[in-house]
Amino acid sequence: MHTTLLALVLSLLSSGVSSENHPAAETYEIDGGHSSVIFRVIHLGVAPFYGRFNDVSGTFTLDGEKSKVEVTIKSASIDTASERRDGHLKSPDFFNARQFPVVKFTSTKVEPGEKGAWKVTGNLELHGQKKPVTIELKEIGRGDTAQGYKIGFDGRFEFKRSDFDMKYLVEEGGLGDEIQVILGIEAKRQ
Amino acid sequence: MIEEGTPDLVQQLLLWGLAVPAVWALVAWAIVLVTARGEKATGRSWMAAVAFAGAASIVQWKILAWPDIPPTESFGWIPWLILGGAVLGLFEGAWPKGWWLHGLLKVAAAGALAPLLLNGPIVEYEWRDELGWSDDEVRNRFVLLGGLAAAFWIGLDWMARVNRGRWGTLGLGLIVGASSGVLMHNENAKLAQLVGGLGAAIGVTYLMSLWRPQLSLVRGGVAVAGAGLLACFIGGYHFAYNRQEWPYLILVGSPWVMLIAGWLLQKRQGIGWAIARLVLFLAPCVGALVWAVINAPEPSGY
Repeated sequence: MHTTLLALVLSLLSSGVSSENHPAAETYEIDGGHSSVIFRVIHLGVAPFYGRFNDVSGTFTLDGEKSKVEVTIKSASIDTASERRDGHLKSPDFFNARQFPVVKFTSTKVEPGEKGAWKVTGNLELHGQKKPVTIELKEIGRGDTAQGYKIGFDGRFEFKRSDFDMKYLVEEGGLGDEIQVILGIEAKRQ
Repeated sequence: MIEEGTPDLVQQLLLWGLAVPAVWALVAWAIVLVTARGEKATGRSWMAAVAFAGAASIVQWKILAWPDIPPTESFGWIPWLILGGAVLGLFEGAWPKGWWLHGLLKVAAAGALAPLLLNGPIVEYEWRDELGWSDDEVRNRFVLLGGLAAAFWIGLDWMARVNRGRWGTLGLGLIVGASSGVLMHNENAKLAQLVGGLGAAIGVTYLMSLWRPQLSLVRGGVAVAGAGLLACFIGGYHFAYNRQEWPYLILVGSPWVMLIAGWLLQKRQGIGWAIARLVLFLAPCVGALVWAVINAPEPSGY
């Protein structure tokens, strides 16, 4: 009897410790209306130019190192404050948005760090090519809001567009090869 | 780190987009003039295929990057199609008899262009949902595009035969020049540059036709221009977001206007008739270009 009671107490304690260390996995859906995907590229070798994508969606699961991230961006949602330039960027000179309508990121490894920092490594599918990139994320906040339980991150990563076979005007220097991406992600818990 | 700017951007584009392709064509024609004289030189029209395809290939290689086989993007087929046109041109230039066989090959090639460039993206990606095309609509569109492509290619071929010597070269040069401008105003800078390289070679060929009007210069190159322009029209229109169909349709009809002008005016002598012929040659090309410029979205500082 005593042995059974002791086993039950130990079992309860151990399950309590376990849930303390590894809170249940939480799934979030990205709020596209309150998320930002901004890119920076050097124009003519002298000035930084910024543009954005207006259609971003995806989900992620927070579960320590087992966390998973999947983000989809519509190529045709590129916005640089010029209809003509957007048309050119969507054309096969750059994104070829008809043939490659989405840019997709799928995580392969998530490393939680100190003070809300996350390092997310995964594959970026862009322009018909798939290459690994690492995103540095910083949790800004989480909690109940007027729109439900939400979480928010700042993020940054870089890649070379030539690695994705998007080489037009790289060698001539018209538009830089290095692309910096700045993320502002807001997501709602499911 | 302070960036250093790109002062040689335009020079690079002019050098590899126009100057080197023009020099290539010049060397090709110099070889013809050095190695063959009289009737023999007249029979070397196949060199136009070498001059035109080589010029376009230089632009592809140095500015646009040469695509793999099979290419990831549909547009990656275009330089290979230009080389395919060169094979047709060499065949036709070296063996001008058997017009029915040449015609059949061109119609078959023209009919195959749209499915080759568009079928993959339409079937495999979300594009078809966006367009809302049923199987029947896809098939009907390919038939329509094949018909228009064949009409353009046959018209171009016929135009170059009727307008012999400098007029044929001029006609081809005007169509290629206007096509480059239309593509540029439809947000297809890469295709515009590719066609621009072709135009540089045709420009040199035109100068050659002024010097040696008896030479049949463009006949072997019509297949290169036909395949290249059609691939650029079909791809340039369908993949663009700010689409304009009229400039392309006007360009497709332009060889027929030049053909009729040649029929009506080739035996008329005098500067007045020459000006009339030039106006008829220019009208569709200028019309297509003006339409493209007027109807392009506002640049907004771009």
